[in-house]
Amino acid sequence: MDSILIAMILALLIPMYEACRNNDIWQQMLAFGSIATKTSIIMLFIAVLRDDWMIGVISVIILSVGNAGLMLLAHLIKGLNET
Amino acid sequence: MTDNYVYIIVALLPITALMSVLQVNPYNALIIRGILGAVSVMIYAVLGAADVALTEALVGTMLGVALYVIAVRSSFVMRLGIVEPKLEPEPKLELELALAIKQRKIRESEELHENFSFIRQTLFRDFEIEPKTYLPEVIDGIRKIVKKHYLRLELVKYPNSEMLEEALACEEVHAICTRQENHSNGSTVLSDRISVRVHRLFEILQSQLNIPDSIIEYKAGSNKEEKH
Repeated sequence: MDSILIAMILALLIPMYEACRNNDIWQQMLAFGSIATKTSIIMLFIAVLRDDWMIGVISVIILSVGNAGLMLLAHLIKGLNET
Repeated sequence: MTDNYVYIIVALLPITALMSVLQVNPYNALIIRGILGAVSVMIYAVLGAADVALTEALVGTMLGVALYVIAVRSSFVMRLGIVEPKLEPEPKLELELALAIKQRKIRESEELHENFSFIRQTLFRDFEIEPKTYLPEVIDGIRKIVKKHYLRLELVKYPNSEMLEEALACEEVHAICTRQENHSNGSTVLSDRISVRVHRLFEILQSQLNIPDSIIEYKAGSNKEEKH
């Protein structure tokens, strides 16, 4: 199971590299969304692995709220580019 | 708790922190701050602090970044004062006058035409029509330069040049752009004069703005402390 988790963490490095390399703000937003989802899924996986439902509930909340925050941020940046 | 993957997850935090520090553009740095928040949420949750993770996700990642974007957006701005070109007299009124002339069918009457111009003068005497007092190229040039420094250019319009000067003195705007006539060698040359109140902006504009017939000058404000 640890090897699967390490593979997931390595997959997390791909959008991180993309966010570091690319200077386009929308590409970075995409990378942010990708990382936010991936971290939540990793947390959910660890929660199931440890049979710890407290972390599981938190990861589900973060999975939903993180997307809402991302949409808010995207809206603000869109308004910024228009003016 | 001594699983090996915990060390790998914790190692992600300094990587994202370094990415955030190395970013130059403030908006991109804020997005990297969001990534840093997501990674730290994962670390807190993996280490067993579910409440801290939830707080970091709600406050640190969502609310903090959104508020910082609004703050950066409203503060990274250069306010440039210009004189708004005067409004032309309403064409509707002129049309009505012309229609009145037509309806009376006194087309050849020069007298009425004189009256017409007299009415126009008296009606719109207050609206003295000034020439266009700024060049779009100058504004575009300034906008391009300040964009390199992640600033926004906000145009503040004033009805006349006295109010423009007063706005610069009262520190309402960071710079003003006026057009003036120079009489040299018998010919009139129009030149744009940009007066900047903030010294750093003056340095930036002086080194990078190369538009012919434009003068950039630095006018220190009433108090020596620079406000951005």
